[in-house]
Amino acid sequence: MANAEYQRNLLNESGAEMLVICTSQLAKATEAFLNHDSDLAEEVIHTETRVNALDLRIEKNCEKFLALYNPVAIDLRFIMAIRKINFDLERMADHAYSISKYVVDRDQKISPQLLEAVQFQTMYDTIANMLENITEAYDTNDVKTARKVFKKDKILDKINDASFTVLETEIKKDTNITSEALILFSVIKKMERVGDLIKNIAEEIIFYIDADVLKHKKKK
Amino acid sequence: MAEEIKITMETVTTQIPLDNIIDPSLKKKAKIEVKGVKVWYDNFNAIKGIDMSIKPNTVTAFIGPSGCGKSTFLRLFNRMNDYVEGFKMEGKIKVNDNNIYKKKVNVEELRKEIGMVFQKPNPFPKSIFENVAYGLKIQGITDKKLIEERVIDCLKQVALWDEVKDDLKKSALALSGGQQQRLCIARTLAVQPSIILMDEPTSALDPISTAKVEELIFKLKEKYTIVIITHNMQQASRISDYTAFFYLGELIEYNKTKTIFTNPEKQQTENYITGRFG
Repeated sequence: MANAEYQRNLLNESGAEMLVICTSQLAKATEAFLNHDSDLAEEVIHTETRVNALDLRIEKNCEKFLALYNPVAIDLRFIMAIRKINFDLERMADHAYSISKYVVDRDQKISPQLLEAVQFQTMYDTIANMLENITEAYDTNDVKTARKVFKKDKILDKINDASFTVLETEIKKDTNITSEALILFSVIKKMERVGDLIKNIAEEIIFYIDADVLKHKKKK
Repeated sequence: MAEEIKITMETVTTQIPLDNIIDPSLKKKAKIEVKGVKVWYDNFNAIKGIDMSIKPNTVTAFIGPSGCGKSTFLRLFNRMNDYVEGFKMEGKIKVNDNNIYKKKVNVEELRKEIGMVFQKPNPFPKSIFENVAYGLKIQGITDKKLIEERVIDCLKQVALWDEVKDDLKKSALALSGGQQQRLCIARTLAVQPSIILMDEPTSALDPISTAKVEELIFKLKEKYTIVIITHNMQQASRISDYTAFFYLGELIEYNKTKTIFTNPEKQQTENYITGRFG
C-alpha cells in the first residue's frame, strides 16, 4: 500500500473513532438529562477532553496530508469532507457537553409530562436513528443511506418549532415550572442544532463519494 | 478512411507560402483540431485514433505515464516525428482550419508558427543576444534595429531582461539552468509563433526556476496557445486550463483542468492522478 493511501486509511479510522465517541457523548448526555444522572453527566464532561484531543489530531493529520501528498480528485474530496465532518462532530460533542453541564450545574429534574409534551423522546430517537444512518453511510460509503437523514431532520425542525408554544402554554398553566421549561427549551434548541450538524455530515459524505455539492440546496 | 500520409524528405522540403498554413489575421488565435489521428512506428501503433480540439489562448496539459504516446502526439503538431524511421500517420491535424500534413506544407515555416521548448534547456553555444537573434537572422532579417528590439522584447517577455541586460554578449552556456530555459523560450518567441509546444520544460529545473517558468506560461497564454507535457500533476493543475490524460496511445479523458483534478469522469484518470497506477 502506498504511503498516501496508508495515511488516508489512518485518517478514515480516526474519523470513524470520532463518530463513535461523539455519538456516545450525545447518547450519554441525553440519558443523563432524562434521568437527571449527574455521574453520567460528569463522565461526558470529562470525556470532552478526549474529543478535543482527537479533533486536534484529525485536524493536524489533515493538514499534514494536504501538505505532503497534494491530494486531488477523490483524495482531495475525502480530506475536505473529513475536516468538515470532524468539525461538525466536535460541535455535536460540544452540545452534549453543554447539556451535561445543565445536569451538573442545575439541580433541576425535568418532569416526564413536560418531556412528553414537547416530544423530547421522539426528538432524541430521531437523532439516534440519523446517527446510525450516517455511521453506516460513513463505514460503507453508501450515499443512499446518507440521504435518509434529510427527511428525518424535518421531524426535528417540527418539534423545535412547536416547542416554544408548547412550553409557553405549560408555563402559563404552572409558573413553578418556568426554570425547568427554560432548560428544556434550551436543550431542544441544541438537539435541533445537532440535527443540522448530522445533516451537514451527510452532505459531506455525499460530496466525498459523488462529488455532489448539496450545501444550501433546498431539494436534496 | 482518413488520409494516410507517408512522410518523405521530398514532402518535408517542398515550399509553400506561410500564409497558406496560418491565416495571418488569426495568427494570435491559433486553434488546433485533431481528427482520427493514428500513428505507427513500423508495426507499433503508438496513437490509436485521437480526436481533440485545442482552444486558442489556452494552456493544455498532456499527462499520462511514460510510453502512453503523449510526446508522440505533441510532436505531431510541428511535424517533429517526420524524420523518425518507420513513422506513419493517419488522420488530420488542422491549425486554424489548415491541414498541416498537406503534402506541400513547408515544415520549416510551420515550425516558426509552432515553436517548441524541450525538457533540457538547449541554448546554442553563442552569446545570449545571438541565441535570441538566431531565428530572425536565419529568416533573412538583417535590420539590426528590428533584431535588437525583438531580442529585448522577448527577453522582457520571459522576465530575463533584468537579469541579463548587462551581459548580452556573455555565453548563454554560462547562465543557470532556469535562465537557459527561459532563454530558450525567448528564442522560440523571437520568431513570433502562435503556438508553443513544451515537452516537460521544467523537469530539469529547481523549484524557483520552475515557478518562474510557470509564471511565464501563465503570462504567455494571453498571446499564445500553449500545449505542455508534464509528469508533475501539481504543475498541470496549477498552470493549465485543460488537461488531457493519455494511456496506451489513447486519449482517455480531456476536460477542464478543474474537472479533471476534482471530479474526473473516468476511473483510470482518477487512479492515475491520485497515484494509484502509472
